[in-house]
Amino acid sequence: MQSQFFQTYFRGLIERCVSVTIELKNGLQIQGQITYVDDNLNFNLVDPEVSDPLKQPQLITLRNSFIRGSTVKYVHIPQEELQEEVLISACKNEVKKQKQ
Amino acid sequence: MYKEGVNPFEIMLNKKVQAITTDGRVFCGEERVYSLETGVQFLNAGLQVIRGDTVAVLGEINLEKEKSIDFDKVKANQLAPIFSNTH
Repeated sequence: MQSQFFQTYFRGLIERCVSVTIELKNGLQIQGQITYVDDNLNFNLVDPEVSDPLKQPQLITLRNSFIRGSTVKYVHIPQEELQEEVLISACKNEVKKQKQ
Repeated sequence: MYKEGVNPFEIMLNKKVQAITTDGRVFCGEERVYSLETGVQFLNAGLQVIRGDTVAVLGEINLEKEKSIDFDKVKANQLAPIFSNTH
């Protein structure tokens, strides 16, 4: 069974309507409010924005964008929304589960 | 607008969508070729069947915003290809 705790963490970001930046493997950075995440860490962002729309105009007409998990390199989460302690305790629980 | 728990593809049903493939090309009914020399070119792509693992980004198009853009004047580099390791 695949670990779910990152998915659970991202669900928390969805509930708090956090705006994240997703960096794809080709370096394209897309910023938007995260509204959906699934088992494969596919994401859905509303009102996607790129840092330089003049250089990368391919996304400016989009109202929302579904990003396939396999093309994601990083998800940048703002420091003030990070909730490190939640991640840390989730990691600890995960390790406990694996030991059992 | 997105509602929680709803499959994101459901809100795209019967809407005009744009797909960016892992080789950096843009499809939206036709293929849209971005280049620095000329404005955006629209190539008639016929029917394109795109397998899921070739798709990087899929988005619903805001038609009003699209109308307001003069694509002849949009000059930009093509997106860099993404080579995904899975599948």
